Amino acid sequence: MTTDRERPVTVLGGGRFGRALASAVHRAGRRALLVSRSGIDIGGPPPEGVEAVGELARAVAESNLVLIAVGSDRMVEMARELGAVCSGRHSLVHGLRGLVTHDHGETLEPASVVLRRETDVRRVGVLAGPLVATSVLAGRPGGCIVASRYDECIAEVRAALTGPMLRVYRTDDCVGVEVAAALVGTLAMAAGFALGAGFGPSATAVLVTRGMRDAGHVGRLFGAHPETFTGLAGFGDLVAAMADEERPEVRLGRLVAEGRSWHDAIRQVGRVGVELTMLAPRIVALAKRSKVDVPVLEAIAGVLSGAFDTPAALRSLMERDLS
Amino acid sequence: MIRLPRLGPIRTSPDDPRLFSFNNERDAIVHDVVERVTTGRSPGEVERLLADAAYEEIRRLESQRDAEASADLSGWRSRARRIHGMDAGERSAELARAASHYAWDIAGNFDPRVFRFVTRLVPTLLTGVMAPSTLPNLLGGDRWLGDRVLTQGDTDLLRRLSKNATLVITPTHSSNLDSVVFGFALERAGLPPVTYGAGKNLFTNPFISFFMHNLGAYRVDRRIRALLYKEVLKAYSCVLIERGYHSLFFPGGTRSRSGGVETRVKLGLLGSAVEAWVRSVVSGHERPVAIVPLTINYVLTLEAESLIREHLKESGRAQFIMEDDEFSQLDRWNTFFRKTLMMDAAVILRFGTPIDPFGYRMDDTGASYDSRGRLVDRRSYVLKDGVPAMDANRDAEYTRELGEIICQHFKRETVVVSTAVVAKVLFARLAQALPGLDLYQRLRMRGQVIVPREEVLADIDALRGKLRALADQGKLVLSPVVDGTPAPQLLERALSAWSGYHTRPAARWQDGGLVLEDLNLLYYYQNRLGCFAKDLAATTPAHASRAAEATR
Repeated sequence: MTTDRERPVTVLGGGRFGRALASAVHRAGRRALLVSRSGIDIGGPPPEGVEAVGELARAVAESNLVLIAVGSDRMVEMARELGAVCSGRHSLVHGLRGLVTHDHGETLEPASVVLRRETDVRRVGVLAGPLVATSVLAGRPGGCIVASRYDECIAEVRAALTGPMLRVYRTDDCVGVEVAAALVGTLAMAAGFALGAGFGPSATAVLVTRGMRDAGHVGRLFGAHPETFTGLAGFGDLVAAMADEERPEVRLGRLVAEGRSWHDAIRQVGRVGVELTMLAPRIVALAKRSKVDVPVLEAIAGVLSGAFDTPAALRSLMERDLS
Repeated sequence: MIRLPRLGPIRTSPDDPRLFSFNNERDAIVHDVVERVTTGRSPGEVERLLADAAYEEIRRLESQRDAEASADLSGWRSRARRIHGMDAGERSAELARAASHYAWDIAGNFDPRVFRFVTRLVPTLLTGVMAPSTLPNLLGGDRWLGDRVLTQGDTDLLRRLSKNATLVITPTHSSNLDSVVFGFALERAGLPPVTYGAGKNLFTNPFISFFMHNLGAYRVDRRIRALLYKEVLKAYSCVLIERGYHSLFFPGGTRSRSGGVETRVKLGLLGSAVEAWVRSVVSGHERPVAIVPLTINYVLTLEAESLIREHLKESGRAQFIMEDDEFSQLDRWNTFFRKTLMMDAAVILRFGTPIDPFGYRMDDTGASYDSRGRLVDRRSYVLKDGVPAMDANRDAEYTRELGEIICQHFKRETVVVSTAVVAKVLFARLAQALPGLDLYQRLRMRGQVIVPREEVLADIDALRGKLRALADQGKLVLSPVVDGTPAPQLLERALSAWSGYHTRPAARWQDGGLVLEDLNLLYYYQNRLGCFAKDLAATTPAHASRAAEATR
């Protein structure tokens, strides 16, 4: 009989992140099945030791653990496809750095909620933190965090990814990790902008620290624990983002600070840019509806929507009542 | 313990309900419970469990200070002195003795003779005693009482399912009368009798105690805080379910003090249902377990006054056991029954869809289906390396999710009764009339607010329109009275239910207006709709009420 550890791990999504995960799985000594609807060749041939599989049902039938590395625009559709082929034995773990939107942005949902709703799978989790695709692909040391209410799910992810170059930490605050992962992108973009615009280290530090506090308040609306935002999923990921000049969120901020239009800058960094610029205003609208004060996120959303320019946004933050 | 004498074992026939065999299996059940709680424990765990039990029991018995307590107290003190000097074997034996003591204290009793007596005669007697005007129709008392206690839901499905699965009925809990009306409704619906846990405080009333003792109730002593006791209690419930005894427990744990429908449940006994099913799968002989959410909806609640008092004091949460509320006052019983027996649909019990331990809908064969109608392979949820296995963390998480799903069912199956509608309307008027005050300040404004009759009637129609829209979306259920009675009669029905039973009327007429009198009571009854606050705020009336249309 096949034990759970002998089963291969399925990775969905042939982009950079999906390929990095599949590569980590292989490096941890497990069979990795990489499924990409758009074709593996989009991001190049599969990493060494990774099997490209064309059919989702076949890969899922062989695996217990499915790692999902698709964008928020595809998450609902992917969840529905998984719903047709997954059962109670599966663990579904996504690595989405964003929230799924419905009703033209009125409703924001963590992807774990979508997966629970669209499938019969209970063991749902999220993978986040300073997991840098290029580092993982290159086999450089790093770490990340997996969140799930199910110990089994966490154990599966650890067994699938942990290796000499990758440490996997754990938490049960699934929704906290999801909100943190989503808002780190926004703060990384703001940090990129601040650095590019010459705000200086002090202002940048205040911006991201107070911004993370805002993120924690938003997280609480979803039922997250505040301490999640000070851990790997929050500050950990933000530090990694700021240290990585290639991170699209930071690049987006820098490009705008250098005088590019938002439209231009988004075109340069790709789909991530579109998601980022849509998320902040939606988060702020949610916070306002819930009477939660998020001044830094509000300033970022104001700049993104064109409601005010950078000096005005900076003034709005600097002139706030300190009491 | 009052039991009828019996010379030999109870003889059962294959058609008898499973519970008829209970007494014959009781020794084996207690044995299973003790073994399950005591085996496989490390020496450290055994010592910790014993030390915890000794500490908690000495604390409890010292404060209890009655004759029953003093004998037990000396036993626990002696045990506490000896624990640390015992070797591992002695401690294990001591743990087994303590567990056995608890298990026998919990274990119930079922006497088919008492069951037959109750099911055949009590409805008629109860009707005759409480409503003498019906004496000429005494033989039809069951039917007469049946008009007062309405049962809704697919009981045919449950009856068929009860042959293929163990039913675990999980009702909302508003009153100590819940188990009485539930028993009546169960029998009328032709459903098999169930075993259930009843608070030990209920056994202090000799009349109630006799029936509790003989109809399958097991005793739950909420004063005992020892972990060992809780483990024995859960194991007892688990063993019963595993052995196919249909069960009932109130997942809210205690009566709803606020009057609201439970939005959170306790997971201890619920976990025993999940565990029982998992154990059956692991053993290779799956016996499906079907959880059946049930709402019990009273027009008038026997203990409303003391419950809301406790709620408002915030001192009467789950740990508080009221020894002297309306339930222990016979005159209040009498008045309550007289009022209740004058009302059609005074109590509505609504059985929800049976669900498996994962919240999936079950059909009458015991198969599970997800929300898209796909057959669910339940076994796949407990596989480890391809074979079914126990896993405490996993099952605790399944239980937590099941608790949330049961609460969703409670909400959906809530039957809105006249007193809830009228209380909601009047309480909203109170808030409008006293802006800027907090809840507690408002509740002190007895007799200060008068609402013109026409405005109350208009508000009732407006609220009913919204409730009907929610009912059309399947978010709640309207009682036949709320659905089909014109607003003036609906209002009168609620006022008449309150007056004469509660110490002070919730509202009274004065110069063509309603004086809001007992605001705590209004608050209590309107709280039944509390979980629909967001839905009501976001809803516009679907259409004019049928009742209002009927009057035009």
